[in-house]
Formats: sequence, structure tokens, C-alpha cells
Amino acid sequence: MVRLVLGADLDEAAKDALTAAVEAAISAQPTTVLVEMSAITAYDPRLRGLLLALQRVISAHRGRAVYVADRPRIRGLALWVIHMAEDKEAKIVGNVAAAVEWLRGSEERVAAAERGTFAALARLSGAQGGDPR
Amino acid sequence: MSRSRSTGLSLRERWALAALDRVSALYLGFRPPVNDEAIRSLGVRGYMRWSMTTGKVMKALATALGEAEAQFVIGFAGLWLGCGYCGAGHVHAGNLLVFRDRGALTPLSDAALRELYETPDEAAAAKIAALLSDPSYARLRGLLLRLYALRGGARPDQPEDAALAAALSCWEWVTECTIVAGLEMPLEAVPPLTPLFKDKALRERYAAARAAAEG
Repeated sequence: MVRLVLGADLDEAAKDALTAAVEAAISAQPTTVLVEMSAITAYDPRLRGLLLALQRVISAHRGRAVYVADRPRIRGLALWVIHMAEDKEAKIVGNVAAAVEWLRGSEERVAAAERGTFAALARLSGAQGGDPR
Repeated sequence: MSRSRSTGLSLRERWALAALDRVSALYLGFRPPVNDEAIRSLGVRGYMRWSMTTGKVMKALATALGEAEAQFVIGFAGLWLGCGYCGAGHVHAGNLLVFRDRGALTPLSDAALRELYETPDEAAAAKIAALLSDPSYARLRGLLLRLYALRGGARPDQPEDAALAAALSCWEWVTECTIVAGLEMPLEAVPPLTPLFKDKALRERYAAARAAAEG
């Protein structure tokens, strides 16, 4: 697993160096990448381009990525990135334990959410005495 | 994602989008800025499954938790995932319901939401507890704190966990598409995301009361 800790001083100027470093780390074989964003304390729209470039490198090498952020707005930034990169296996979570659990599996994010929704709806409808269909 | 979002919409998908936008406008009173992205990402069949299931979850949550509480739970499920559009839109809907039914303004103002949007999880629970410390919000406070606990990895073993889990799973699916519009939209600009939007008189009375309270 490659563990990438993004700093609070991250900016667009770091894009080329960061993507090159990640590419070097994951190009040999498909791997898992844990991106820690908890040091990023404020949303900056300029980070979208940098993170999208980073995710595209990970996707190109068939890496399975997970983004850990403890602030909702930063999770939103990461969700925007993995959605725009069209990487079905990447995910956002709130802590490292959840990240490690995601990296252990092989599920796709949207499929897992859809499946989870139907299962939860069935449980809820069952509890209410209804039919989930 | 059942199709590549980078591929433009086909003619069939553009027709479907126009029809779905019209249906949404009739139902909600406005055209939500997420249909285009949802069709782009999920395809028309995927959109229909996404949209209809979301409707069923909202209905089941309203039955299980109450109409206003369901909207707040959905709003906080969306906000946790980083979608300001879902977060603000459903909290606005919950606020309107409380104002309509109890004549009260909840402490979940746009300013409070903006703060929670940027607050680290470890501090968020304390902020929610402080905001909703009045006994009249005890049930809502309990639901939202439990929602955050489940997100943090708590084992689902409480009576209302099934409803909260449905909101959490469903809004992971929903925000997949709403995040494109929902990341940068100012929270105060998001309409209430229910047909209650069509009650213009209620919205105006609420806005005036909120402005007077915060002025």
C-alpha cells in the first residue's frame, strides 16, 4: 500500500512533482493508495486540478484508492475528484480504519452504495411491515 | 457509474433529460441542477432506479422518523459526504416543516451549516449537541449524533439505526451525482429539496422570521 499524506501547504505548483512521485511508486504493479487529507483544513477550488491529475495517474495504473478526510467539505472535494476521474473503485471515508477496510475489498463504490441502499430499505420496510419494491 | 460521463448525452438521453426536468419542475417547483449529471453518469435506466429508490427511502424515513426529522437526517447524511446541495437543501426543507408545524426556527441556520461543513468530525458532534441543546430538540439531537456515530464506525444496534443506515447508504449513491453541482453552490442559495418549495408564502414567512431573528 502507498500512503500519501497531503499537507496543508499543498498547491497547484506541486502537481507535476506529486503526480510523478506517485506514478513512480505505483507503476510497477497495481496497488492500493491511501490518500490522507486531514491536514487540509480549508477548501481551495484550485486543489481540484491537482487531485484530479493525481487520481488519473492512480486510475491509469489500476490502483485502488481511498481518500481519508475528517472535514465534510474536504470529503466533498475528494468525492468530486473520484467522480470526475470516473474511477469506480475509489472511495472517500472519514477515518483510516474505514480506509483500510475499503482497500481490503474489491467492490465498486456506486454499486456498493446501490446494494447497501436496497438492503437497508428492505430492512427498514420489513421493520415497518411494508414491501420495499 | 454505468456509462462514461465524458461521453456527451445521446439524442435519446437529451430527450429523457428534457422530460425528467419537466417532471421534476412540476413535482418540486424548480428544475434541480443535478439531473444532467445523473443521466450523464448513470444512464436513463440508472437515473430512474436512482431517483425512484431515493423517493422510496425518503418516504420510509418520513414514516420511521417523522417528516421533518427525516429531512434533517438526510441533510446531515449528505453534508457529511461533502455535498452542500444535499446538506443545505434537506435541512432547509426540515426547517420549513418545523416552522410550518411548530412556528419555531431551529438553530440549524445557514451560518450553523456553513460552520459544520468545515468542522472536523471529532468536533462536529459537540457542535451539534450544543446547537440542539434545547429539550425541544432532544429527539433530533439524538438522531443526528447517532448518524455521526454510525458514520464513525459504531455498531448498528439501536432501534432507529435501520432508518439512519438507509439514509447513509442512499445518500452515498445520491451524492455521487449531486456533488458536481453541490461542492461549490453557496448553501443559502439551495432551495428546500421537497415539494414544499412550491409554498411561496411559507418560504417568505420563514425567510422574514429568520432575518428578524438573526438581524
